[in-house]
Amino acid sequence: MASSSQSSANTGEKIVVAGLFIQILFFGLFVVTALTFHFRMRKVPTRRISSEALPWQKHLIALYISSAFIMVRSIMRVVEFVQGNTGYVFSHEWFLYVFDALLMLGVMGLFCWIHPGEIKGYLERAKNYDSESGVSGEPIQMLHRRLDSDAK
Amino acid sequence: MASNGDFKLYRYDPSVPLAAVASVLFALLTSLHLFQMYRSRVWFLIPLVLGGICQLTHFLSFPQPHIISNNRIVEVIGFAARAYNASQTPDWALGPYIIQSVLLLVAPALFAGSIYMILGRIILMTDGEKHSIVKRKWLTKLFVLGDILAFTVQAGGSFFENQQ
Repeated sequence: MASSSQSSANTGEKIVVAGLFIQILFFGLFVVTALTFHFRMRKVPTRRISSEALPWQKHLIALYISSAFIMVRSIMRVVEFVQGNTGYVFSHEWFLYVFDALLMLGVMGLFCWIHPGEIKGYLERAKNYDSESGVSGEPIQMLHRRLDSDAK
Repeated sequence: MASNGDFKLYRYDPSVPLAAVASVLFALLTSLHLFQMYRSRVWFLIPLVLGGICQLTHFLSFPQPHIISNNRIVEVIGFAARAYNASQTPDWALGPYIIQSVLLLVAPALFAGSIYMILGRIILMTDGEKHSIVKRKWLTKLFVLGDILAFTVQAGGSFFENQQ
């Protein structure tokens, strides 16, 4: 193997690690967004959560746990990669089953149990449609929503 | 043992029973999610289901290089991969190996995609957009963009690394 290809392999490895860190950084930022939202909501609750018993914290906790699983998985990927294919992680099968299979099964199982469909149920009841999905609620209900937010 | 002198992709012999158990569990949870998604019509869980399919495919095909090296149960999965392997005789296991790596890379990002949208729905449900540091409209877009960027950089690095 020529030394030039060896150095390009090293550079490539550094780029991959950088990519893994970008992933962790963005995902960390997402978790911070969720935590800040949770914290601020508890400090200054919106009218909707004070007037109605919404399971919003339950779904946030499910979100934290699943995010933690994904975060651990991403960090293990960095460890795996930095150690290389002669490293401990790569050469031991149980790592794959604990840090990939089990954690990802955990994410799926958690959302089977605490199904986000419940949120949709509440949204439909409030006829508060997401602008992303491009569906709009009934005009009267939309008016309700506008008045509700204007009141704040 | 994969002792036919081939360059080894795994530092261990992938266990068929373990891969089978993981495949069954992923198949069960993915089908359950498909069923729940169909009933509740929560389409933002599509990425999660796709992630489950990625994981399932990975574990279904995981012991494949081992199986091929022993000329056993080749029909289990991956005819395309096998055809590809046949055309790549010296490094037969590289094709599925790369596919497997990509599947493992993409699956958590797909799960994350659904999770971003769940936060968006929680914000919507609680009418708490003013408390979010990222506008709900940008939430999924921003973080999916981050995942795409991370994936592109990783893919670029791998390409660079393997270029000789």
